[in-house]
Amino acid sequence: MTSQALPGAASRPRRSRSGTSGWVFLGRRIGFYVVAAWSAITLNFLIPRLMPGSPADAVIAALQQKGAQLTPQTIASIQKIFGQPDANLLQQYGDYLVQLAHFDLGVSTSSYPSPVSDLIGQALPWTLLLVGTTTVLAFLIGTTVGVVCGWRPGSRLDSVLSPLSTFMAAVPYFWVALFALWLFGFELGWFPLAGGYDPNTVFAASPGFWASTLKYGFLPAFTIVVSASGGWLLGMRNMTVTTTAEDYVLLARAKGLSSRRVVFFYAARNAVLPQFTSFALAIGSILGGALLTETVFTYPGVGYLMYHAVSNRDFPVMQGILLMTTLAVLVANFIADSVYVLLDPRTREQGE
Amino acid sequence: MNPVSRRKFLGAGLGATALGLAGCGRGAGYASGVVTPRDDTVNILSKDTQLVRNFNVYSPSNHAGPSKGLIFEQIVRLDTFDGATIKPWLASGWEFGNGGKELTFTVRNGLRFSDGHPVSADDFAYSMELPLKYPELNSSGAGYTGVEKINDHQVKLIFEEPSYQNLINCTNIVIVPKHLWHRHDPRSWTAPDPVGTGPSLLAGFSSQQYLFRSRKQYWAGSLPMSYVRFPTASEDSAKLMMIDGQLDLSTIAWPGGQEHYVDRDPSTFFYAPRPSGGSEGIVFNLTKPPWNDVHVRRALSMAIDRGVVSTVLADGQQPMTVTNLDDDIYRDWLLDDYAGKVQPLDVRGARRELQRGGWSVEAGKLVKDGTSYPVNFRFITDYPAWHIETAVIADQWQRYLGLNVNLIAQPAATYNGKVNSGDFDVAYWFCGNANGVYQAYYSLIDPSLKVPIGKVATGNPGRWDDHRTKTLMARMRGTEDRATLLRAAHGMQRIVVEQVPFIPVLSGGIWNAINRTYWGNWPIGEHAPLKVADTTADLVLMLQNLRKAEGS
Repeated sequence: MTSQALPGAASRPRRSRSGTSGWVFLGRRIGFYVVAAWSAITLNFLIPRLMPGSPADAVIAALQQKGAQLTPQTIASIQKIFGQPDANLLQQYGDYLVQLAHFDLGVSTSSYPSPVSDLIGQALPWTLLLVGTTTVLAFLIGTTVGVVCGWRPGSRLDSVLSPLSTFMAAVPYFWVALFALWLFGFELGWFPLAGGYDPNTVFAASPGFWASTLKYGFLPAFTIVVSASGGWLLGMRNMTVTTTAEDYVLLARAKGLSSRRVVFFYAARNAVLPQFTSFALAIGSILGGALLTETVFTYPGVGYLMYHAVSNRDFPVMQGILLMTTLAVLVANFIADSVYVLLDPRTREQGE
Repeated sequence: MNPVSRRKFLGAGLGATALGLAGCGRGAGYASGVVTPRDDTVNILSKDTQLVRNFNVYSPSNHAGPSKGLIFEQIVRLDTFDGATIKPWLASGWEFGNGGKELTFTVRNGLRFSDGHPVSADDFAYSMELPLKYPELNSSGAGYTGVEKINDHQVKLIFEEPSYQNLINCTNIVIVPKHLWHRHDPRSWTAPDPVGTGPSLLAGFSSQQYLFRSRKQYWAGSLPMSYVRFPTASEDSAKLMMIDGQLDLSTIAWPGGQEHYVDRDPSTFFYAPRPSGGSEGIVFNLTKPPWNDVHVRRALSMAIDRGVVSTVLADGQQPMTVTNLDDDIYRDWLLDDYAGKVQPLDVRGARRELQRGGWSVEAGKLVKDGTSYPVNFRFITDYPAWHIETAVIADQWQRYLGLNVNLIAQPAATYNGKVNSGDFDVAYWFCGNANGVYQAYYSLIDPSLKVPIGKVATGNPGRWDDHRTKTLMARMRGTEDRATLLRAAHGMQRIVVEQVPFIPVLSGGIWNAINRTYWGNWPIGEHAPLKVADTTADLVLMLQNLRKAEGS
């Protein structure tokens, strides 16, 4: 009884302290995110400019690869238009910050004069749809199956699925993707060979269009889920194996609770915590796209846009995508920080 | 936190995601798609995999794609297989005046834009002035300094020096409608709904394809198909789509194309790249030893077995001739001694050349007077074929001369700058072209393009500096007299063969993977007058001549 009374007695002064410390804590967190965002913005500006090479060289090489036979006059013009920017770095940085403050990401050099926001806007929905869905699916499937495998390690299911998922996680993704494209797209002809939707249907307005996105998206999504869920499965399985040995699981069993309840509410709920941290990070990096998938399946997403921008030294597009990705990771982190408190009572501030 | 608020939280998150997706979908509303009859549509691969609704044909970025040809047309065109000569297109004729410093074009009669407006000399003058008014739109290298409208049918370009040999640059002048364009700033306008003189209208656009519908009235005779479609795909997917009949044409290089594609059904599948007129070859930094020694260059050229390079690469590129001028395209310009001649592998000759120059090979390096020089051989890492070609050449130099070659792969964004500024020893390079004899040598070795090491050149990357070359090139620049040009061209061939300022290795290719299930009569014979192309007037001419395949 005394031990119960003690925290109650101590809670009054602690609460008043946590009132101010709560604000300090919040201020500190916000300060951290502001500094992180500023350094991300600055790095986005600096890194592309520290890369050797110029857009001009990339444009010339791309034209020549397509078979263009450029005259020296043409080459001189391209060098003049796309050469390294002359303005000094500090001035460029200033202009960049002013631009950003107006939510203006600039104009692409490799698709001049299209605005960067148009290019990203064109690619982003596809990436959100494909990578977003598959990240969530891979997490859900991998984690659920992981719990089942980890609950009875050595069972028939576990002895098949665990090595299989190790294998799937270890096989290079592009190989899986190319194989799937060849088998399901070409040999069996079940799925289209390239694209994110049927280009012959009316865009975004008809049920036929949305049906075609499913048909076109299935194969890329399937390969990502197959490759990615292996990692989630292994992580969850091993954590579950550890938690099933804990005393509170033994206690739950001894209380005669149903085994489903013990698995999901006692073992899995604790085992899922590290999974959740990785999941938050994975969500943040969705916006970066899935380069290999998008390349193999010619899927019109952000990953391919980024690749294209890097190989063409298209600084404005690179900056735009990097900025978006880093800010998304920061936001995801912030959400993860906040939601973790809901999942794990131990991380809540004392006294609440 | 109780279960209810947790559920609320999740619900709110899902709702936000759904809203975000819906918002993105709305923002991307493009022209609607159209289902077209397969046997009335020609499907050609778009090698650009990032399509952007940007039909500003004067934009310097490389996305003009098929709209250059099908919608916007050139004033003159290059006829590759008629000796790389310039032919009329929107301009019905031209004439040089004032010693080659003035060039007058005549507007073809009866031209109309697709919105019904007639084409006038004003449209010509407006289009020609765009690159002068806005230097950021001058990606074609228009060399003129002034434009003058003479009357309703004629427009004059003014040059600072005799420009007989710069007519080729006029193939980049395309005519846009002044009445639509002058309302916009062409530096920031993307011309999303293009209007031009060409045979097609834009019927659909998405980030995955262009769709063109053929006009009924077109000055050069309307196209025999109702639709031309350009879907995007990676090269690997494109190959599967070719076999599957989803594409009729892909202008891609296909290593092993004969075995993996044609042999499946030779009556339907075709792949046999035709020489493009240019070559892929080796340039040297001629300002420093040992590359400034003709004996070394000859020896290296003799120690290459071009047949083996071609066989290993297996994408249809053939050994290049000694003059670097294609036998078919330049047949009227070649010296009899050199026509059809390829430098054979001559190991003994190569060793003799090295000896003659006082060179020996020690520990894999070239050595003379106690100084040794390594062989640093650069190539562009973005072109898969160049990895193979340079590796085979390096192997042959090792095998036949004992040289250890350091192969240095470099990304596209730095490669041209590196070589053009002279920061290299030996480099793999696009050599020559089908822009005419003058241009074929001009871009590679004209001493007038020589700039000091460290400064970025626009041509002559090796810094070839030879009095005779300089004289001959200047002579060609200043005349359109056929006999004078021919004499100079012969002189240039002798210099190239005897002095080896660069080494031609394999011919460049006009890539042509074709599926003949739906369309026949492709320009693919050995002496076909037309060119397989996915852009410019060549594309229009090719499409005009296609015929529906029997039984399609």
